[in-house]
Amino acid sequence: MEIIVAEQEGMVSLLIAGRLDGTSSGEFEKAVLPLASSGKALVLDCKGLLYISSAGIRSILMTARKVKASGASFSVRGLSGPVRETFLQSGFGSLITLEG
Amino acid sequence: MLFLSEEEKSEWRQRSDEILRGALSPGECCDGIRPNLIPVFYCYAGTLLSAKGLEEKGASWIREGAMLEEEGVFFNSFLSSFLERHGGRLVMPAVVFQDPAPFLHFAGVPTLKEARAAFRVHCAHSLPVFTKPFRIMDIGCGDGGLLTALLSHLRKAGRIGDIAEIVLLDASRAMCAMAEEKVGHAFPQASVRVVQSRIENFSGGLEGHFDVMLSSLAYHHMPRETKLVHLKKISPHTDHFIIFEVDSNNDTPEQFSPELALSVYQSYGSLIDWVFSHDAPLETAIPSVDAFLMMEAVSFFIQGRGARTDYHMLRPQWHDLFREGLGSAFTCRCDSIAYSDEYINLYTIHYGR
Repeated sequence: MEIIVAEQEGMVSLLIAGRLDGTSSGEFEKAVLPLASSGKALVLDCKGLLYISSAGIRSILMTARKVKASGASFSVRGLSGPVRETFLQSGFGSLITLEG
Repeated sequence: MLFLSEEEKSEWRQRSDEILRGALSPGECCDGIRPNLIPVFYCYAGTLLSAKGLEEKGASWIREGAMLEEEGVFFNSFLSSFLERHGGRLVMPAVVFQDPAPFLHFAGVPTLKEARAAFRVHCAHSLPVFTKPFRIMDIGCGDGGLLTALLSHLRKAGRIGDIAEIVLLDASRAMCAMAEEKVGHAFPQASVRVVQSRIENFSGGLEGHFDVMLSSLAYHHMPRETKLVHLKKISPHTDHFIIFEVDSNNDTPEQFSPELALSVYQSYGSLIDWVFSHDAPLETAIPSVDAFLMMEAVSFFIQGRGARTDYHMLRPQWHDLFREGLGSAFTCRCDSIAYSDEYINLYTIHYGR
């Protein structure tokens, strides 16, 4: 899995590509959770995301909680194809702001 | 495991009345509530509102609570997704165990597998050496995986030799079929009998005598008074009775009580977190939780005692039950923890003659 971090004024953008599953969720959490507590808005750009598993959803929700606890906003954008379909059908979209 | 004081229970009830009257909204209700229990209070308020028909309001409390959940618990988050997938309603999504796949996925969760391995060790350490051909009955046998592993372990540990008889009891036809195949294949010399029934319907006609009766995550499907009736009926037919259970205060608290909400939140929130941590496609993990764990969890919020099918008890309650139901001929041989964290315990309790 690839994670690219871009910080702009008051906002962190994270571009993730590949698979977010049990193998990569530890790496994702290690990279993302420290940024999630920074108090800056966080956007997770998933246009390169090819697959998300139960462990991946858990990691994204954990991130969303940390960002919201810091008083900032969290959103996911760029979901497409089967990953978007899976995400929407799962019902977890009710907890996360989806853009695009 | 966390519990509420009498003062907290009373405070939560008072606030829930105000919430039902529309006098309190999420964010306005939490002064004085222990910070780590705030997501539980949101769950309590949300499920109460939903159960009383105020579904939209209930869902909003649960969504807000999902964003406050601590690591290791996945209850409000999953319940939010569940409501989203079920028209915003607390509904019973399926007949539990009609399809064995959800349970099989759950049984493959590493934490549960480790706890079951500890259970096998507890049994081998607490049971005596059986010199005569061994007879065992598994009440709520599931797919037979636990019993197969246990018997193999007891044999390796030198506790048992030949196996004369194995009785597999389960209410699910699909589970019975899987168990019969698995156990029959593992122990071809043994007489394997399958009974598709609930223990409530079987205990009265029980014949023969068993060295061991065991029940893993199954004997809790009856309220305490019914557990007692059937324990009294089956106790003359066994020398040892062993359970593997979840420590939860789900039997005696009233429906809509804060203590029931806290107990369900902790136990099922932990179990759901285990399922989601165990990597699987969402198409596998979600039905596993919906058709098994949520089926049970939702029942606590919409069905009263006597109607629902789950009544997990706390360990001291099991000991009281065994002392009363098994009688003075039995004594406790083992009470050991197979898994424990802040929210949930799994344990082995063994009473023997």
